[in-house]
Amino acid sequence: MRALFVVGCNAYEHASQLAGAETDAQRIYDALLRPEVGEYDVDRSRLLLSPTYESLRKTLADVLFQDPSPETFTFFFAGHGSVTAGAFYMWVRDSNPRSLSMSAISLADVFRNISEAAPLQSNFIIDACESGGLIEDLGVLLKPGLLGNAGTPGLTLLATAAQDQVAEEIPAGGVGTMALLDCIEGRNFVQDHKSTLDLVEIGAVLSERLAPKGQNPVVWGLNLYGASGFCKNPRFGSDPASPLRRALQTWPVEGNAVITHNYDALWSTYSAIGGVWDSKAFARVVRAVLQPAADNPEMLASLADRVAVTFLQRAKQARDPFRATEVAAILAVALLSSSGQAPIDQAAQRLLADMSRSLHAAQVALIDDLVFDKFALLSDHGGPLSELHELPLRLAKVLGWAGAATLIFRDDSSKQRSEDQFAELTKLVLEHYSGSLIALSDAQTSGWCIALTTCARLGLREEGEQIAGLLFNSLVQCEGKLARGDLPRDRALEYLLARKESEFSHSRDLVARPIDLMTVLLRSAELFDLENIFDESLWKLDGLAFTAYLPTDYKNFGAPTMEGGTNLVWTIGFDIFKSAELRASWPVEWRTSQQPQMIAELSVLASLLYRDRQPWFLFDSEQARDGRV
Amino acid sequence: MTAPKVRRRANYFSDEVGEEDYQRSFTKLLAQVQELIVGKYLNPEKTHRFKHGGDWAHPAAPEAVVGGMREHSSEAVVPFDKIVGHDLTVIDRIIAKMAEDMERQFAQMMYATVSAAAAEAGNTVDGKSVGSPREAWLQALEKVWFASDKFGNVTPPEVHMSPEDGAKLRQSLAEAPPEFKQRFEQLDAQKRAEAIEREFQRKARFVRYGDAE
Repeated sequence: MRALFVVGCNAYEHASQLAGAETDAQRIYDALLRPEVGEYDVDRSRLLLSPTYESLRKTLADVLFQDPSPETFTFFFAGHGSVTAGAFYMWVRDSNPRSLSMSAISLADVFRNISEAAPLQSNFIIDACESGGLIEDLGVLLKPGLLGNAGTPGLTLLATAAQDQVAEEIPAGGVGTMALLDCIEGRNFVQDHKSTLDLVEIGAVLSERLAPKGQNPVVWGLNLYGASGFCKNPRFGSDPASPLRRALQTWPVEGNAVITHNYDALWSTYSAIGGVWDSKAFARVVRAVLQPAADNPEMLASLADRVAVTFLQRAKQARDPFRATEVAAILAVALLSSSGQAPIDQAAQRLLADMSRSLHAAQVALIDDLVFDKFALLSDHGGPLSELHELPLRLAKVLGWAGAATLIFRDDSSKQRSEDQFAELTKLVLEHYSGSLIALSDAQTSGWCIALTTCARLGLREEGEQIAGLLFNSLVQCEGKLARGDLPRDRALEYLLARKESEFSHSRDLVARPIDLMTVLLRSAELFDLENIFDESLWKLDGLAFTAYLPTDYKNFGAPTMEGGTNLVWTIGFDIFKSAELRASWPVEWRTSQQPQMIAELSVLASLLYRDRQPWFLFDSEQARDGRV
Repeated sequence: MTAPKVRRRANYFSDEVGEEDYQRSFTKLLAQVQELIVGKYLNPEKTHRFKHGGDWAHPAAPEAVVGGMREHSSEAVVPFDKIVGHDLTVIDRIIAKMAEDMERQFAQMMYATVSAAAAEAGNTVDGKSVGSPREAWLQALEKVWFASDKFGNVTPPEVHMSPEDGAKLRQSLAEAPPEFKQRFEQLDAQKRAEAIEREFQRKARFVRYGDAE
């Protein structure tokens, strides 16, 4: 049973009158009640126009607590709103600013009600001034302990004005409501690959549409329980007549147990994703959520889609423009081991498309920022001294991801655009950050592996030479004593001090042995004709061991630790005296080990995310070799 | 409708968790440096650590000197160019600058506290009017108590002087006549005996001191 509760309030006894709130409410009510849109139950749904406090509470109780209990509950409010003492209030006809707790509807009250009624899915849409303030309520109310219990609701929420903003109203109604109607009635495209629309994905579209008008909608939700229960997708063409109920009823319920089991972790990750977050923790949660569905391609693909729509929207609010890229990439890589099945490949392709879009946007922002401020790549989160460690790693990431973009875009214009971006970023990094283009940590390896092979593939010979040369020189200067790729950050300062003094006797455990970066540099020497130059200095690295891990199957490349495979290892002065000897000893079967495109793309992303594995096949690609002069 | 917000400065690929861990390790290193600095002036075993704000108070010993928290600060400038140029010497420079600032402020605070307490008790000696550094020193010794631990080991007071004044005192003592040395030895013995006596009186305030034989 699906219940819709819609409130529009124009008339106020203690506040200015509004003109369009009732119209908004009426239009939303009419739209969602239509079978081809929302398919809410007419008998159980209610529309209230300028109600009093008491009449609203009574009607809400009727909707929520009669038998049968609603499986989906959607709440819409248009009218005045305000934040008082950290709580968000929705004003009705007799709300009094001197006694809001007794005369206005607080979000906390409604949440307590739905917590008791426990619909599987609840949707909140609030088109009111300061409605972004409800986020403060959410922080208190949406505790995993409250919502994580079995049977308690998945909850999504869309507020069309941020806390300090005013929801714009025009004669035809609220701008937010009109934009929402455009999405649910199909005038504004949201997506066309699922039969239903999720409030979070609608919110993502609204964010882009309303931003130019000065409204930044707040979208909050973790709609992971079953298929989206908000409304049907008018742009889904394959089965437009399919009733929404059928879509919900046929949803595999096995997924709910997985979600419930990981609810705490999902919520904490969701909260962190827009601020201070830990990509490894997110990857762990994603694996935990997706793993049980590994044998059910349809379910796995849908789970990935649902996690993506929720987390990507949240990631877009982060200060790091690359956050959404990493989130999409983590989700896509989580599908790598199941790739080769149509639903999985389609889901991975959608995630790659999401990732490519956000990567492109992040790179546009970065290039703009770097042109305006050459220090734009310095983080202001920690102290400046932490940048001595972070910046060299960040540069490898920036150019590594930029290189990855050139591999992943498939259409010609996007590919060309990504290649132009890579060239531009490489130029800017060399211009402003050559001092930090140093070999510092083995965690840089994948970034430089991708960036250097991309330079070769795109014919950026001079840039590739410079980067490889700078890295190699610094490697020689520190005698190959790179920091471990998994160096705990609270010991990074210790490593830097030891490196400055070339005195590692008390910090031996901080040094990587053997290293991957040397392998990348020696293989790059071949691409840029640097072999003779590097060979001149190899004696200074006498005794340095370096390695390359070759997996049994690149489909396992997204696993935290890969089983099997081969750990190739070489030592300068023992089995390698010249760069060419590395190439000569590289196993023949791996020299032509080209991977299917999807596996190659996801493996490249896995190496950027996990950084203890390198996509060696990039050195063997025809284009990379053709890039040689 | 409000005007669109100015875009926040982006933090590209900022490892916020890692940066915070790094910052904590830097603060820890500074704390170790500060501990060494304080150790130069005060016995670590006699150094108390505040758990909360507010002054110390000695309700059972109102005559004791009271003190409280004092804020010390240091500001160091790190040019972005040094960071981008990966100049690791900035770490040493920042730590040295902060250590120097902290030591200067700590020493100033400590001497000011001692000086204020001595002035309040009238426990001061005017070196210039006394005539010679060694006479001033002897007079100063007369005014202070030696301390005895509970085993009867007497610790003479520590002398903190500027290098110049220290050199003058050493020279003055080297030139002292035998009569001065005799006066010093008598005073030293007297002070030690007083210290042991005070310690004896202190222990006597317990109901019993030491295990019964």
